[in-house]
Amino acid sequence: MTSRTQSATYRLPLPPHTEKEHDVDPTLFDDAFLGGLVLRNVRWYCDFRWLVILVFATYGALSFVPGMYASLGLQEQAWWTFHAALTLTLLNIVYLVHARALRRLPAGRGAELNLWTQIVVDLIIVSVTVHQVGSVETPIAHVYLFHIVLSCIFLPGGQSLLVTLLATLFYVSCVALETLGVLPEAGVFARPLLRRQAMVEPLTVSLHVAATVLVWWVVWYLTSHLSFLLMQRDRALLQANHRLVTLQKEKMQHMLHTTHELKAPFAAIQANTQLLQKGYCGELPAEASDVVGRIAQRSRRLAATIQEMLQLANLQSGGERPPSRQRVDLVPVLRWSVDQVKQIAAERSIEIVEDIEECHVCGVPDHLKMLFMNLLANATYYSYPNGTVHLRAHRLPDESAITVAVEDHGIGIPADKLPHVFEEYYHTNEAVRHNPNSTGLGLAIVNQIARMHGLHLSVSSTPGEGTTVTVRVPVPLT
Amino acid sequence: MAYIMIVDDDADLANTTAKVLETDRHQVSIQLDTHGAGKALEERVPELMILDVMFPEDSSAGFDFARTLRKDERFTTMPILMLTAINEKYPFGFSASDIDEDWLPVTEFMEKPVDFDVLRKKVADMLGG
Repeated sequence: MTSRTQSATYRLPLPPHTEKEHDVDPTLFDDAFLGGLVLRNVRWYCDFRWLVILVFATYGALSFVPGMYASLGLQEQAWWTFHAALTLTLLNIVYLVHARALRRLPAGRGAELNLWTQIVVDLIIVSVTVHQVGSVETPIAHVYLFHIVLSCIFLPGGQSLLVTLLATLFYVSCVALETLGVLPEAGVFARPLLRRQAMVEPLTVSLHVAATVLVWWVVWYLTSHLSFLLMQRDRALLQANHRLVTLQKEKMQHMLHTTHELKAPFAAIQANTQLLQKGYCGELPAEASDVVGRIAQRSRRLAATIQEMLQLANLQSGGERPPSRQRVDLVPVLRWSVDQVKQIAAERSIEIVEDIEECHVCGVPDHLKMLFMNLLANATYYSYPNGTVHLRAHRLPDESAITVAVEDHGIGIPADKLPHVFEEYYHTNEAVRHNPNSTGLGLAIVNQIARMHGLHLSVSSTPGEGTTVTVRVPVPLT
Repeated sequence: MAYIMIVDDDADLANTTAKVLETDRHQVSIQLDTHGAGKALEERVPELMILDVMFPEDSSAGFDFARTLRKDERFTTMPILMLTAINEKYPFGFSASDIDEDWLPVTEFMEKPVDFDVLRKKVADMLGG
């Protein structure tokens, strides 16, 4: 049993960027991951084999066209191709059924066994084909290259070397057995003389086999080297991606904590000022009450500024979740935004009139909420008391986008100041007089979101009459 | 008059909230972490719990505590009012309309700083309901 007073040691982990460049997190390549990869390769081999089966069957079927192969100088009888096609079909079905059963437990060695069975059986069938077609007098022996190249791409490390060795062994054995007369004569050419001429000199045959095998080994070397470089790059990319995702999460967590740590003390200050203001600690003299009121107001403003500064910094740094756009029902987004400003509107006796068409847009829900909430808050803050704020959302006639307009009948913005209202901390003198508690960041947040998502935004305003901000939000592609 | 438990690591804020609720003649107990709250719940089940989200050792301890409580049949109907300065799903503020039984199994939600008049009314409504 562990005692609470038992001493313990903790080793502080190094941050991710101090790891060596090519150190790969082992959890990225665990058994399940690699098992899944081999299983995908198993299916790919099977898919490719259907093509080979088709080639065999077609070659066999064409032998029934009278005189066709004879005109090409080939033997007409090609029953062996049907046997090969049938054998491969049956084997392919077995491989696929086995692979399907393995899907539930890709971490085991079953997928690897399946793949290696396919390779070895294929090499045997390739050797039979090579013998039937003509091991020396035709270029059919290069069919082994398919397996050599595929193994360089799909199999890890030295396994492609083993495949190349096996291919060499099978081919050399095939030619040797033919030369020794163990295997019966075969070949696609109708005139046996051609074949015999090629086979007459053992030295010629040996040179031919050696040259063929040399080509394979050169191909193996080049492909496996390239494949190794690509695999290394893949791993480095995967690692970099993993590191970025981790950093993004850490950053998000950091922002969350910073916001909390900065916001929580203001909540306590405001709670305490409320105790004083609302008489929970007895009546305060009028002057003291006024001072407490000012403390509360400045504290509220500072809390709001901190929250908006963090919000903007977070958007600018891309610290929030990656903006993966999705199909968003705009109505609840707008209703949520209206809910957020209802209290401010009620305090100023401002009515928010909604005219929202049912529609879907393409965007990030949290960002859209932030954008519309800020526009509505601004419209409410800069309306005259008892005024009206209109929120309209309609499809464009060509249905290419939705326009959302927030219209107030408030103090308005002079024309020369319009281009500056989206700048951080910019306040017009009129705005400061009307709403001294503004943070000057609301429209900067709107601007940042619009830029991030490429939303077209326009503002039209008449001083003393009001302002309309229109946002064009794209509709999702159907 | 009801027995209310406040679970919040900010003792200052918890005491202030308790003072306000006591003026409505409620009996208030303060727990500064969810572990202590769990123990206190074994002794007496409150008629209402006011629960914070972020605690120093775990930034989502409040969410997890609410989810754990809802799995225990003794607390499935206990009203929970969640108070927080921040939360994970909507880092910069969300509203009561975002409450969803699986994600946030609480009865009501209020964002700090709270207006005490609104808080008293909400508590009265939750106890009355």
